[in-house]
Amino acid sequence: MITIQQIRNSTNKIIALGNHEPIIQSILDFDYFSGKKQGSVVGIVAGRAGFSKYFFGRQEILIPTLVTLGSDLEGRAQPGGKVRPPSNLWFLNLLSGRRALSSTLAILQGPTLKEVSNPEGEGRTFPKFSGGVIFAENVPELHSLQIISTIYDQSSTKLVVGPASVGLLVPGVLKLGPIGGITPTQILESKIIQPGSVAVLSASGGMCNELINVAIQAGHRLSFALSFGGDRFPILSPRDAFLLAQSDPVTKTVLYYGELGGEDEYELVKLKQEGKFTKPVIAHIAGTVASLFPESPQFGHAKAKADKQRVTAFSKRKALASVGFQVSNSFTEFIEFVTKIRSL
Amino acid sequence: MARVKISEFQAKTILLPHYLGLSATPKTTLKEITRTFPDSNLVVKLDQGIKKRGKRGLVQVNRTPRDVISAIQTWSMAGWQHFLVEPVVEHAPEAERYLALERMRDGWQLSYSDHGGVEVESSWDSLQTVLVPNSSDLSAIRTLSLPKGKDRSELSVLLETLPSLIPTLEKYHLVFLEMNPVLLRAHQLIPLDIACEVDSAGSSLATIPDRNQGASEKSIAALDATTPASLKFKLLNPNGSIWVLLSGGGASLVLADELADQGIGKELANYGEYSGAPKDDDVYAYTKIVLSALLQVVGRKPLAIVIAGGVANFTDVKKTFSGIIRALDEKQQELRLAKAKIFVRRGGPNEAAGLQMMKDFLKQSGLLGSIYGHETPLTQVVTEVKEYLS
Repeated sequence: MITIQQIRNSTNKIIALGNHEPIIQSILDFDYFSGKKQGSVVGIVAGRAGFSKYFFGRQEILIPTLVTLGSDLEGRAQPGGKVRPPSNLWFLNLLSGRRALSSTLAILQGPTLKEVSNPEGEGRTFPKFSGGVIFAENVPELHSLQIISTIYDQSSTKLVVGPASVGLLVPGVLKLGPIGGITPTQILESKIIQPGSVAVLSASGGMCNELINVAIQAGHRLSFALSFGGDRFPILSPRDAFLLAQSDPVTKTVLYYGELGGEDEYELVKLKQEGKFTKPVIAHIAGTVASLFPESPQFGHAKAKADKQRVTAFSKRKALASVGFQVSNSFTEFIEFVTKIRSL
Repeated sequence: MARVKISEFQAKTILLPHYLGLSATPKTTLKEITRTFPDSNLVVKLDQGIKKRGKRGLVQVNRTPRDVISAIQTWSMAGWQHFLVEPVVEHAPEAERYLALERMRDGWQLSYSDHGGVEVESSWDSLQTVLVPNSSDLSAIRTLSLPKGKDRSELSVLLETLPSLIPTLEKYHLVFLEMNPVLLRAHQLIPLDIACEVDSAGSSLATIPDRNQGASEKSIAALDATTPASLKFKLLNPNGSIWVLLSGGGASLVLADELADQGIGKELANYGEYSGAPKDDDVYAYTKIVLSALLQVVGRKPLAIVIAGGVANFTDVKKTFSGIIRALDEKQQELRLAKAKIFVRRGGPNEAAGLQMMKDFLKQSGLLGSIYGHETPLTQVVTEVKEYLS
């Protein structure tokens, strides 16, 4: 799997599946404020061949739209040139939950890319995707599991975040999704273009941005941030997200937001016990309110229901604390912990 | 968008070939029962996803069709609506087993116990658990210790049936199946009682609605079904003095936790959230339903309304707040009479404009408790609610 450092060390280009104007524009704004010479979105699969108008700074630009992923991608994607290695190519899947499986498999297996490329032509080989983000909610569990098994069958595992993810953010380098906000004011105020040493990993999209806010308000800057989504089986598991943070030389501290339901936190416990994760973590597990109900209700996210004692917020907090994670007893306490991180 | 219970009748119809049960309601007639079951030795039980039916006296065995009708009538007087009638499967009580399959990340977790039946809770120690990676790799099953002295025939029943059972579960997006008790005999799994959950994101199977859903919950569920955004509402305590209009699946949970952590959880009247960039009309309709539930109990004590959420990624604060303000405006007089104050914390796209609009409205209507943006900690608002109510 690609590392966060490898993402920082090369240029990153994005193909969007679905034309979601505010999100795509926010990525271009992020690129512009980060001082890039070009926007990172090089193509939009929108079911029609043509162009879509966007702004890069004050300048109007045209981003090619494609009928399908394979349709003449190399020729038309990216105004003013072709994407050449060592670029990382990313997908941003903005299609609905029902279409997430087929569209993502089409990318991961990627035969169409090869079919349309001209192997004889110079510089015509389109780079393979390094990974991507699935934005949709309501992706069936079995579809996520099918994507997971496809990824792990491949020789180089791709970094696929989601479903129900607001994206992946590497300050100044890559904004893959609405993560960090969609208006220019938000992108500038939230200081997500300035790099730092705190990583944010969150089950919830909204809380991912809230944790970014907590870190920034406390004077920190981010190494990277991602929301793996509140589904039962996130494709990039919290475990793998922690390993990304461990292998990233820039990341000094991890802020983690999890919820009641599911077994993911027990994988983190194992990771710590096996010595595979050693960096300081401040973790908050939400969902203690469930104890006010006679039977755990289903909360907002698909995974957020504790049908047995082991997966309640209290049990998971206890398990994480027992192996040395710093676990907050309330969100107010979480904010205090973050304020006390020493800047490194 | 989550794991939801389906009825036992539906689960058995999917899983058992030639299944003979009858799904019954209070309107079911004696004639229907005698026509369906020529043999008159029957089981009748509640079929609404309720646990521990046996212990609660909601299962009757060895009954005549006439007994079945009278059981249904008794239960329906207690408000139950859906029942299941089946022929009795003769068996020795000691042949009852417990068997469950749950979908995990790496395969199916199979749980088994020799001690099936209603007593299973008291013998959790006897539960054995193995992970079955897929339907063609059943080697883990062989590590189970099944009752001895039966030339391992029960084990062979598992090995014979799982290769077709697991694909059936996957085909229908069934993610949890509990058979308790179940008989393992004659090359078959014969489940007497079933509890089953489906992944509603993958399936259009009818699921069991919450029995206690009130009018406001039903209206919001109906509203939720018409929009790609998410609108959730659960009434906890209509007499509570804290009403919440929260945004975001995660932030709503954090805020509700904080109310409980600060010791005012008992005052929490409802839980809910809106997220996924709803239209202002949807937020208007949502708020209107919440307010009408709130105004049904006009209290002696002051009320706090919490309109709060995290720093949104893509939900427009101004747009969603304009929907909320429209609904609040229509009820501002009633809200003042109910001694309501409104406490706001929100961040995200168009935050400044949205907050200003809300602040102007709350000041002018006299409903202002406090109002904050992203620079104030998410949970600050809970502290202020606590102060206001004490």
